[in-house]
Amino acid sequence: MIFNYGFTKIGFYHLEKNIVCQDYHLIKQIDKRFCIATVADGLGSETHTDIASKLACETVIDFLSANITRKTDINNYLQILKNSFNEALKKIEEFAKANAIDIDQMDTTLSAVIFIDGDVFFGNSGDSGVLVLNSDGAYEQISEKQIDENGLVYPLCFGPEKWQFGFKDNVASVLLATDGIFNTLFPYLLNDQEIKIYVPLCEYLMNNDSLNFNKRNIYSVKNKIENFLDSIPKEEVNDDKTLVVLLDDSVKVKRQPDEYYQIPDRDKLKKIREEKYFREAYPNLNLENSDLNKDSEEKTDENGNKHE
Amino acid sequence: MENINLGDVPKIVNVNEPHMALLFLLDTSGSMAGMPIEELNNGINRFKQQVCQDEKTKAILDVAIIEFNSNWKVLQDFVPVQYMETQSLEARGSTYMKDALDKAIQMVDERSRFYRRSGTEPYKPWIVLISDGEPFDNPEELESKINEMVSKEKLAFWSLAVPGANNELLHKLSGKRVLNLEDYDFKGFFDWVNKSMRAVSTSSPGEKPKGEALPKTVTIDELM
Repeated sequence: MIFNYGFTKIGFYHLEKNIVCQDYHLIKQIDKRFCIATVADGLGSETHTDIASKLACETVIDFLSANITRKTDINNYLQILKNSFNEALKKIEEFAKANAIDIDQMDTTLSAVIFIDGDVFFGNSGDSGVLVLNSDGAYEQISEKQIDENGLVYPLCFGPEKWQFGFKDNVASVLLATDGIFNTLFPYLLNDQEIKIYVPLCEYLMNNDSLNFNKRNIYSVKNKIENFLDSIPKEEVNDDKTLVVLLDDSVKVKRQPDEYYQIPDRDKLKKIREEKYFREAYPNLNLENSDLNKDSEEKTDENGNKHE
Repeated sequence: MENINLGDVPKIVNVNEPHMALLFLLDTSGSMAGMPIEELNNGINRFKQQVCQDEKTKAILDVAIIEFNSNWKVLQDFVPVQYMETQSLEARGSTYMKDALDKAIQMVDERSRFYRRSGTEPYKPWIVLISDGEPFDNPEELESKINEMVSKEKLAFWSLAVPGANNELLHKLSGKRVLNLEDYDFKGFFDWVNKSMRAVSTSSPGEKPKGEALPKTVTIDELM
């Protein structure tokens, strides 16, 4: 059976500036092993993006509910998902026109999934993200961030040329999040590591070995996750926070080797990262004489091992 | 390394490590000789000392310096502010600004891209142009390039008009962000830049940090 949770929390920045939350999410469980969900993040600099994110999520959920049932040919799911994105964009444009709002003030990202019998069909526009736990125990980001080289987001209005759609099977759980939370799963300290995903956090959020979802404890699990989101410090996530997880306990998950689950050694990774960054960022400065080496006379190689 | 206990709440590992690029574009033409160039040297060297008193600002700020007169030169490529070299600027020659300005724009743009490639989120970079003169070339040809970057939130461009400057030209480059300097009080101006950098360091990339009050000797030039 699929268990689910979803939260949208206003970010510290918006609270301080008295700005409304611009994230939104919706989940609809169709049957025990069939669930649809969306998340959306209105672009921060614009004035009506809270309306846009809500409209986008509602439209996609309504469209998918109306057009996909157990009798629908599974080969049509992706096309229906694409059509739902078109419908969402159209609804936003119609709203803007009807209310004399500048359409450029209504940009939003959008991510959506259909999760059915362990298969995931997904669509993505912008820099929110979709991550899955495969039945082999590995976590995998299946969506790509839609951003340019300057970090500017391609929101929904950029149209089908920028939208991404795909499929993944043998999935035990799927996570959707807006960028504030999604980025916590890929901290910069892991950029140069073989495993770039922060696995312990993924385990906590979306593996049933950690969540222990069952029919009797759904609320306590949700409370635990909500408390976790509320405890994230402002220095780590200042933005609105949206997190959705759909977990199918019918899909058995194998275990990866123990090293896969180890908590990253933050100090060691930080040192490796700082030295590499210093060399690349400041090629004319001498690393040996830098602040990085002031407290230690030992030298450290790129694997963090010290030598005399 | 330790293994996770299922049920333990994992700590958020540093999500991001922001950086900011600040580039000083300095007119060192002959008309800056005497008190102006002395005060400029004092101001920019004091700036480094003041910024370094705040650990947060020191951790994020990279500084570069370009001078222009009859020619132009990168005096300092981007380095962390604590590694800024002490400046002994000399005034000589005439005022050719355009190529130096073009180089400045290229440098901050490339710096922002570098930060992103490295997986760090950059704050909006600043270019601070300090000039007292009428350039012999046509830096206003770069107006549209600057305006595009500013409008896309990729750059903050400030001009400090030292007495004698062509303010009309500076407005073409900086829009409303043209400041008049009185009494050659570069110290006051650089104090303001320091406080502005501190405000940035306490914000998140993408946020608009709180503006800092200008000293009495630095006033906003009204666009006529």
